[in-house]
Amino acid sequence: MHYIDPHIHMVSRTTDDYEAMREAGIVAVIEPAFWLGQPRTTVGSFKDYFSMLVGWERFRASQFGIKHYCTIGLNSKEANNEELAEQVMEVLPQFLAKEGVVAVGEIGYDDQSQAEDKYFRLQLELAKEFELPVMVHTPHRDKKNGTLRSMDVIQEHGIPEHMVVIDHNNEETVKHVLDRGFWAAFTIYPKTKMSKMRMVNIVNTYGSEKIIVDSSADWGVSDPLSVPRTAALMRENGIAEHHIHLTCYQNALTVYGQSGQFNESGWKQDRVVKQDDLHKGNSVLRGQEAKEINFKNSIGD
Amino acid sequence: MKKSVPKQCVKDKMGDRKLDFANYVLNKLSLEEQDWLNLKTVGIKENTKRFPIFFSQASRFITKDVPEWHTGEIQELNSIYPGFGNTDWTKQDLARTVLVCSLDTNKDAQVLSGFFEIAEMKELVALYKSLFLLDNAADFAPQVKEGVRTNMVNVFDAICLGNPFAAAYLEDPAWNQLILKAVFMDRPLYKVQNIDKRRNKELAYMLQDYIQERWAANRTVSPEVWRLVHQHLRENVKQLILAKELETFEKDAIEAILDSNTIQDEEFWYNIGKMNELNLN
Repeated sequence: MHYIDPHIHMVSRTTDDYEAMREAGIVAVIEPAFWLGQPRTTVGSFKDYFSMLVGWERFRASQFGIKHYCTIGLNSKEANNEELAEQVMEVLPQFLAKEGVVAVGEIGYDDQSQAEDKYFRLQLELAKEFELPVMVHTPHRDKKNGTLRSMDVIQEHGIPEHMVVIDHNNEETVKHVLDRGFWAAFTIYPKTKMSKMRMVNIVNTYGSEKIIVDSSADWGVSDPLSVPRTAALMRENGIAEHHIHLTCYQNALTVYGQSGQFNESGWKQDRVVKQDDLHKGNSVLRGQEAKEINFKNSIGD
Repeated sequence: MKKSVPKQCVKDKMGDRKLDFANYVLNKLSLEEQDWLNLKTVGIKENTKRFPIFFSQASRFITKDVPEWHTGEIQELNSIYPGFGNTDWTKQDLARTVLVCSLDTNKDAQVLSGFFEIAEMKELVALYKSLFLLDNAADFAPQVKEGVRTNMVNVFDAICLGNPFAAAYLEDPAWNQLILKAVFMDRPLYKVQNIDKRRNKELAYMLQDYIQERWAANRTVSPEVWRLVHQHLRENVKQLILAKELETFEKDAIEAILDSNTIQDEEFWYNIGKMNELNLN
């Protein structure tokens, strides 16, 4: 069984996590740009962080057979430093144009301040310009109002609902999100946000059509195996395989696939190199038989 | 048949070689891809600020196929860009190289060096591959020196393998670090352009220290390293060799340098490199 974790902050995770994730069947991850637990003070820190998401972290993941994608955006917390936010907005387009950037995100509200609202709206316009989906972070505090307000603003900007994932849902928000036609993602945390068992109940109640499971694992108490573990619990509780497939793999592929940057060939392609093809006309094989080497999920394709 | 062009002549042909290269590239692209590339090349010339986004967007408009080249084409490309045929160039790499060549890097070097700071993995590969073609390639030696420090193997390979830049423009200390790092990372040395021309005593000594260190730990070394020890073999390492039981192509490689008067040609070392590569896999 293959899984996608469409929201995980791998820069905070170890190689042990990568190994365990691959072992558990995770073939692809999406790493949304977010804050680092402490505010940045210069635009250079943002540039280097974005570069890391499309460079070193992408390479690191490939070493463990996991295909790494990301979303690029100015998060809501740091949108409150307006002077810096202006400079970050300047560099965003260059990163949004890059390969493997599957959405603008995670963006939205934290305190629901005026500055947050301003940069949320500006980035929604960028999403339209670059024809990318949007990953929306909903606030921890005053969650329900923040979620409703996010959806109002998105609709006001004329972005079609099928292009938007509203993340970090709970029992209080899910119905609103689904009724309005958006994708509803759930972050499964060991302690806060959403538990695995509550997730099972959500799927029992609302089905799987537009529901997505993710871990949002980062530098805090979180679990990089939340997606496969939730899938296992669904299975134990008799939820049909196709619901598991949709919520833990296919829905993420469908919504972020709309970027044109996210499709199964990224991780399903095996490359075969025939040794005797490596260099034509030059016999290097002294009597040995040519081997076929199979590179599973190799990077570079 | 390898075409050997005297150095002065290459210099005079500078302007043409970017054009020649671009023509070979365009020939391998589909009509849609050609249109896109031509349009963006003009766009960059009009406004260099567009370069970063066009360069990135090549991933959306140009495929990653590796084109097939006729022998004649490869020969021509190898004369424009020595080592071209030693590594795979995707159509995307090729198109991106043409975009880099459309910059006037004498005037707009900053556009390119600024982009290096925000380039993703495959972009870095294409950037490093393209530098050799620039009229002022030498100005980018510090960038390549920095690039050697990368931990992304494919980016390192773009600098190290099938790319004439390093041998042409890096000074000995940076060149030696490149080769040492290549040895540590098990990269195939036979694909390093002009590796024999840049042999030097300091490198040979550093590699012999490395060999001693590895052998002391009962570990092996790539038989390709001996290629660089040639004519600088130290007595203490020679003694270690004589006390060691050697087999197959490692034996061939070491015997080839034991006598400093024998000089083995590129083909010999090519075969040692290939054997080693097959062995590693």
